[in-house]
Amino acid sequence: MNAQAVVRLNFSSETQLHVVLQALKPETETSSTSRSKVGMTAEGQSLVLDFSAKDTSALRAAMNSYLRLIGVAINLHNLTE
Amino acid sequence: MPKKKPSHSYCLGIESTADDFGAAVVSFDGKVLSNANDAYLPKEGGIHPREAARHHAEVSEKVLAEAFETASVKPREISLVAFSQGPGLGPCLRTGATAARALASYLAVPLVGVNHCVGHIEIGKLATGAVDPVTLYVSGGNTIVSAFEAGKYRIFGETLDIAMGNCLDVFARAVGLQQRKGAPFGAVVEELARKGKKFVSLPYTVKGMDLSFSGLHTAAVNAFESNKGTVEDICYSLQEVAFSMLTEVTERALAHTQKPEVLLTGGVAANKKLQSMLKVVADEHGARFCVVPLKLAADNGAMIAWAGILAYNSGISTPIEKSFVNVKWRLEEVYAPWVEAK
Repeated sequence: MNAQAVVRLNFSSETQLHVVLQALKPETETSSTSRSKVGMTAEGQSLVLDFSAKDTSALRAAMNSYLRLIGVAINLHNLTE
Repeated sequence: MPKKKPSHSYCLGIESTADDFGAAVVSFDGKVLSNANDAYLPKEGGIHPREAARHHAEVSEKVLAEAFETASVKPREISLVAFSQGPGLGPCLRTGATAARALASYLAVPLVGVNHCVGHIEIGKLATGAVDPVTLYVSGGNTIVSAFEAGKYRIFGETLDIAMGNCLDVFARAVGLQQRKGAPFGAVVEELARKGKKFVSLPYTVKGMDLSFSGLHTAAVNAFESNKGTVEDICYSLQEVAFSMLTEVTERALAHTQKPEVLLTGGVAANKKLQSMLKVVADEHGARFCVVPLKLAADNGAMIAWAGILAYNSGISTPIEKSFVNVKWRLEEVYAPWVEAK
């Protein structure tokens, strides 16, 4: 692995953080590619994503995918309120 | 997180295996209260999985809101969330799965992962009243002749390469036809086929109980490019050959199983020519011919919701932490206890 990035997302509610973590966790355990890996943990009210990839292209693709999926999970919170 | 016990009430179904993002609310007694959908329409070429997934992510909130609004059901009234777990395109499946997991978690309700093919069969049965049919499931991604036996929907025949719908799509694109919202390539080919007058010989490939469409597609494109007929003639010939192949395999499955019904489901089920050919076969075997209504033929959330309800009522649910998508989930791998329960 040559390319790495850590993304920290701060949530205003623990419920939302818990939901996003639950919704995304299965994806981190069944990576669709061997070119990148993602670790995901909760730290206080923050979600920390730890990306490692074979190259910067794979890193960008993984980050784009995860940030998009996180966006889906966050946006649906509005629907349920 | 505590889970609500669904006593009656509603299931939200999310479909996202390919180009459609669908969401529907279905009641536990089988009423489709809403069936919202937004399809990814590429500017050129076929479905790019990543672009389709991007589309699904962009429209998910809007489509889900529409599903709730049309059904006049509040999200908090949902008792169960079902989602298409496979087979399908990985990035698309993952988008729908993420939405489903998030909603199940927000609402504290159970989650059920549904096999997309089972969804097509079960919604066909629900809509037509079929109980134990031989099913011809034809769409852009699948071509399967199936019937229920010993706990599972068994596959009697299937495509060895591309699906029937894909054959029509790729052919249409190669000869310069255009699809539009509400009129996919299959409908465009069907429209032109009605004007065809000359039959152009094309390869008919049935191997045992399985079918092959890739050679047929290539031959149809070659026939068009070498001016063996007008585009209408080629569309007509392509449909005649492909649908005869499908009809032959379905008839053999029917003769073998002696089931009382033939069910046609999937996006290509909308084709009137295919419907008429299968009806002849069903009539000759004394079987009732059933075809899924047009509004439930293509990929949709209602079929996922209904299959989810059937599975859940049989004691099947999917823990969120184990709700991995399965891009190659085959129909006959699904244990379907609700069918025998009837």
